[in-house]
Amino acid sequence: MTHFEAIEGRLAEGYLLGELTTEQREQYEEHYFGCPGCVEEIRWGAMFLANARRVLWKLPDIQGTKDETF
Amino acid sequence: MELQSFDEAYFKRLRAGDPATCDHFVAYFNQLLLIKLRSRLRSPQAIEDVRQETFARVLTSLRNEGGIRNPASLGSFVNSVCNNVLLEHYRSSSRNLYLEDNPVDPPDKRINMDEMLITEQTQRYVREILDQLSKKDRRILHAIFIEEKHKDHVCQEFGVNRDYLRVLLHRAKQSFRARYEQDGGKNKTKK
Repeated sequence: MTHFEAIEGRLAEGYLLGELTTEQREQYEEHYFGCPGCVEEIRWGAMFLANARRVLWKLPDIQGTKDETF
Repeated sequence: MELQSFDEAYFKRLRAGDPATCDHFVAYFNQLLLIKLRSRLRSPQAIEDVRQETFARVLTSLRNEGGIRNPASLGSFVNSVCNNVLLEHYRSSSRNLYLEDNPVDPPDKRINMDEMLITEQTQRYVREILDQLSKKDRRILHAIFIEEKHKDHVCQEFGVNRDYLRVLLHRAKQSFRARYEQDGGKNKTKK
């Protein structure tokens, strides 16, 4: 796996979302542990998600009816 | 967050046990190992055990004559050692279960991050980014990460596909990073 393939496939996002297959996850881990660029992607994504969970939990207006217009 | 390439000089200091380099090494890989382990293990104690054992083995191997010698493969080596320790953990937890199909410690695919990643400032940045998203996108994130709805159901409910979720996270992450760096990473979190 190359850095380009990882970025093109948005594998950092798939990894953090738990969307990768077992095989993809293992291949991506094998890659990103040795890829500074992908480590950055993972770290920023993890940081965003950690904070987003906290913020989303507090957002008062997030719930809405299903047929609400977006 | 600094890009890190491991060169021969770093490697030598690490092998010699230079305290600052060892601290950096552990700090660099600690978060990666936690992210990896939390996608496979639920028990905080199990995560801690595997993490510590991984570091112990890697550092021991680095100092052994027959151990790893190529600085460029350091990251791959850490990952490989962690995989071995994980397998041993599974085996010791239950000798009779086949790991791939019956993990002893069921994986929690949701990646929960450490408190160390969260500060008032980073929450403020994220709040700004979330405010800029459409209501639909905010509700998608809420449905996945707070309500913990199955992603198939979320996609169906909001009329999107799984790729949309990755793109949504990617854009939000990039905006967050840009916002953070715009302020020069004030109130930096520990990384």
